[in-house]
Amino acid sequence: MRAVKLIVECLCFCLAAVCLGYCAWVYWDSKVFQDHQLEELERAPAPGVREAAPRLHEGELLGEILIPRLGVSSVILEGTGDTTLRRAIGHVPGTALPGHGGNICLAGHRDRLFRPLKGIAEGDEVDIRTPEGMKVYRVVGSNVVAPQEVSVLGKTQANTLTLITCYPFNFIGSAPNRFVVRARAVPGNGRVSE
Amino acid sequence: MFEKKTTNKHSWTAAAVLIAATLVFTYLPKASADDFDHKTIITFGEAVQIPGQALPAGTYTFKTMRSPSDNHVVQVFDKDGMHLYATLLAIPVYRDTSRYHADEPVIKFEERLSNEPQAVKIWFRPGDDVGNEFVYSKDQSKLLAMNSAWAIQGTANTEVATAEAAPALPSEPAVTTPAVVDTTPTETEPTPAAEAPAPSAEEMPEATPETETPQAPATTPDTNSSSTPSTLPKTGSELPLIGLLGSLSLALGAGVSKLRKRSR
Repeated sequence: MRAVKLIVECLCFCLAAVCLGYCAWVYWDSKVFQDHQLEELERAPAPGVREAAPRLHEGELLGEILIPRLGVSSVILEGTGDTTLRRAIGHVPGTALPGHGGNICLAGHRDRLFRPLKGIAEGDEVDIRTPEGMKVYRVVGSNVVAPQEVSVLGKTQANTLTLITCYPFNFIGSAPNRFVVRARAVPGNGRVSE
Repeated sequence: MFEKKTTNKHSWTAAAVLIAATLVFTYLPKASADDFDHKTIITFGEAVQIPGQALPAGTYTFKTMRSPSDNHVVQVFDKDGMHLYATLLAIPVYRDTSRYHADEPVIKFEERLSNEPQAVKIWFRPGDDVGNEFVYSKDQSKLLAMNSAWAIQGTANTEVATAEAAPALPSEPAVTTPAVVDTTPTETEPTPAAEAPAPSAEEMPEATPETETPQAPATTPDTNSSSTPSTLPKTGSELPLIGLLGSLSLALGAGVSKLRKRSR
């Protein structure tokens, strides 16, 4: 009986070590990656001529997102793959690029980088920094939609920023809905092409 | 004499069968093409909504999907039928034949808030008594109201408005069933809608339906649509679940360890 207890104990501690170790590694990897990418962003020169629709690869560095009131700060990478979203905020392919005009759609995990979004309020400032400069957006509203509601990714005439994360925030597992935040560009801040 | 009558009777029967067969083989492909491929080209003077998205002002092709089992799957393309905007499941709805001629295409809009684009609610193909009613989710309405960036010059105070065109011109019967996809379908321009029962001007947004009978189904898929995801990104990781599992395992291991030490 004591041997069985010992085996169970060992198995439990091993499982705990693997699970908690993985969580710690994810946080550490993301932190190191973000620091490295921010350094690269600082060093990146402002492009002289900008392509209207440049070809981007999954995981390519695009810029940085900051929400000062909520303490959100993360680099933005191209794509919404598992690895990309594990390390940073992802730019939804096919939508406007950060620094360009149109509807910029960004997605992030609700349990990490976009978790503070549950406290977002109308009027909050969202800054997007790219090698071309800084652009300031102001939150105009939020909503909960079904995952199939891809209309939020649609083109807009105004310069819009759409932040997407899962909902409910405290749901464990694959959340059934999406939390969408809409922000509008503040005129006169930064350079955004129409 | 009797033999001659029988021969004549056989000749007439053979001729009748031949004529009937000719008629069937001549007109059957046309009926088939009309049933499945008839589409309506509509020009919107301002932005409109369809389920799932807003469309900016422009010309669009509404077409029922080629499906013998369910004829209420509607596809919305650009003017040329090359870019697919949406594939929509519609509800069958019946036309009030006392008010409208069945051979006229009809587009009806649903009332929306002043800061939202009009919603395309019902589409009748020319020649059909049964039309396609589009269903909108409450989420879409909320989102469109939330962000007027979608609401591009929406028209206020619009009740269910109707835009109509004159009856479609009869098309020439197709003699053969086209098997090859033709990307340049033949259009039949409608006559102006002056004689059609016109709704009041203030409740009708600028929409100009045209009818088109293509020679072949335009089934060219949209290559650009693959760049836009069909669902929103999956933004919930398994990290909390893994963390919870790790914490529970740690607690269980500590509990078993305590029990083992007590039993010593």
